Amino acid sequence: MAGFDPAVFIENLAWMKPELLLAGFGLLLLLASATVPVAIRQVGGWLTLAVLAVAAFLVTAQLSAGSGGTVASTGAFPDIAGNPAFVVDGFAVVFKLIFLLGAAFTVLMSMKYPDTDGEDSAEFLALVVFSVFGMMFLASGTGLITIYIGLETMALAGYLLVGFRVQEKRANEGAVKYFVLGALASGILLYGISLVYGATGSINLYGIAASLAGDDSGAAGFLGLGVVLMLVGIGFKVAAVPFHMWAPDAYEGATTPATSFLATAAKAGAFAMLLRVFVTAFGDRGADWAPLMILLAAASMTVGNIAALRQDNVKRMLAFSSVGHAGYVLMGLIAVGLSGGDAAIRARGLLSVALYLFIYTFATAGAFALVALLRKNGQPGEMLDDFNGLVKRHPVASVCMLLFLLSLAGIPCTAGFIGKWWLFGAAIKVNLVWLAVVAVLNSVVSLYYYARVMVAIFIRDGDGESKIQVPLPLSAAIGAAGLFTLVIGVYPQPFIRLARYAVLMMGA
Amino acid sequence: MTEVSLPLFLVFAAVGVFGAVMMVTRTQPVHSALYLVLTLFSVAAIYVLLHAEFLAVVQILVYAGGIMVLFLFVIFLVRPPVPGEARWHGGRHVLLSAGLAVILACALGWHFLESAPAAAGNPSALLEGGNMEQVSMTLFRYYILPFETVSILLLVSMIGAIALARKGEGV
Repeated sequence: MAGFDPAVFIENLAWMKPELLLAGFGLLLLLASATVPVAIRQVGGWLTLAVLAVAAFLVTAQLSAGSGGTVASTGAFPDIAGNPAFVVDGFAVVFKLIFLLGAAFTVLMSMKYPDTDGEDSAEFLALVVFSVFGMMFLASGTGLITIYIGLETMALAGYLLVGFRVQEKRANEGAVKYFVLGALASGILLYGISLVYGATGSINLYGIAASLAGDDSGAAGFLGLGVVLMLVGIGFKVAAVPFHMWAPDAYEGATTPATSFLATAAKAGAFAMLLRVFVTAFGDRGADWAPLMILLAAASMTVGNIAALRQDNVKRMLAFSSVGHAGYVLMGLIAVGLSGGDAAIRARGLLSVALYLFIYTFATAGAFALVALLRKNGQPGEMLDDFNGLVKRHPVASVCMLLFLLSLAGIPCTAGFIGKWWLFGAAIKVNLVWLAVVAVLNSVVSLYYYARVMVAIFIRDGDGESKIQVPLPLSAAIGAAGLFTLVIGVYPQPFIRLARYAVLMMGA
Repeated sequence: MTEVSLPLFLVFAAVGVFGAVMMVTRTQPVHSALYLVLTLFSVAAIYVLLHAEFLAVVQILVYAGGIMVLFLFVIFLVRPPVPGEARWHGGRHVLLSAGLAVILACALGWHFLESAPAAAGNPSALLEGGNMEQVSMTLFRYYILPFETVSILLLVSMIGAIALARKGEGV
């Protein structure tokens, strides 16, 4: 057995520049907050934004690092069979950009109230950065151990972000529920992984795929049980019905920036893992797992949207709506599973998932930024009544909120329509017309509760308060989200081109 | 597995299952914890039978030692209810978990009756060069990435624990 070769190690590390940057910055941030707390309090948020931007640049650079401007699909850290544990390909790059985007919105929102909740304290920022670090391993990891550790890093930071307001009862309740159910889900996931390992003899996605390509009878029941348990575990993380119970409480209890982080970046991270595992390792058995996903998708959209109808708390409403959106996104994965080797359908499925997650990130982060905006005197403004007459108090933000809600509902001329068009089309391509119909009906249902917010903003009268002063970072977040939601709606081509990179998943 | 170790395996497996069943059926948390120690020890013994001595030692040090002490600390701190207060949670949970256990046992049993486990590995390969050396070679050569990433994971949990504890004091 060959020994450890430092040169090879460094060479492999060169593919992890964005990850190293984030880890290093997180550590420095903690050190700096201990030595120069006042300076960090003032500029920590902007520094974090700058580092996220540099990380996005490094990630994008990997896209063209190959010869001739193609994507550099490269694997690093090979295991004993030569299968990489970490790959850099188009899929990883696109998802990492989504994570960084979601994190950037969270940081912008957290800079609103400098002293109230300690949201801008260095620990909060460091946890966001470390969480994104973990997500990167969900997008790039191809060894199940590497992926699992990435998932736990992301999730642990998430539990802490939810419970950050120690004095707040709802935060404690949400964090404890999220933690206990999340730990249970991790246990189930690990059990599934160990069964899959027992059945295939490999802990690497490529190794599993190779082992499955070899025999097609064998450990079917055993393997199947493992795959089902893995799906349950990941289903918890994407908050798909029936594994969504934690989401409303966690979303409601967390501070609004943290909620936005859970709903955008953390959700995208779990989806990256779901896609990577099921497409790379079990891609050949797509027809076997797709029926389970169809059940999850149909249940998620229906239960999520119907439960959202009754919510008067906007954060809770958005939580249930995000459960519904997870159902829509699963349709893209179902199309990949049922593609049966048809490259065009597989590509459409992957593209639509990546595109939708981008669009969903803009709209959801924007909507949560509005909730953050309404907070006053340390009281959260998250009830529907808090939105009453907002149009008189801040017309621009009101119009942006209208855009976000229309986009989430999927109305034409907003980004959401484009995203749903691709996703529902992917389902129709694999002859799941009934699922697409269910999705469209659910979009109609969702319009009702989104309209309740619109009515509150534009028609109801508020208590005649004066205009709201919006801090710069928050207006930047709302403005950027609104702009992109509109631009993608009318001119989506550049984003479709970007999302197309997600099709490039490194083969074995 | 050799002829000699099969009866030993059966003994340890039976003790392990006994401990696990006792653990979930006791109403006194301290009793449950002690039965869990019994199960962990029998699993460690099975590791020895499989020539995974290093894993066996780790199992005893970390699980039967460290983690169990934490469990007991927590049980003492939160003051368990007196036996009369702790209620039997009724048949539904029992049925559900028994059903899951049967499904799992069937899937595993069916698989092992049909074919030998694919991931059994080769004990003789483990014996040459020493168990610990093999483990560390694998860990530091092929699993160096997750090994290093764990350090960030642990750091996150430490930061979080400190941040929450400090805020709890109202600082």
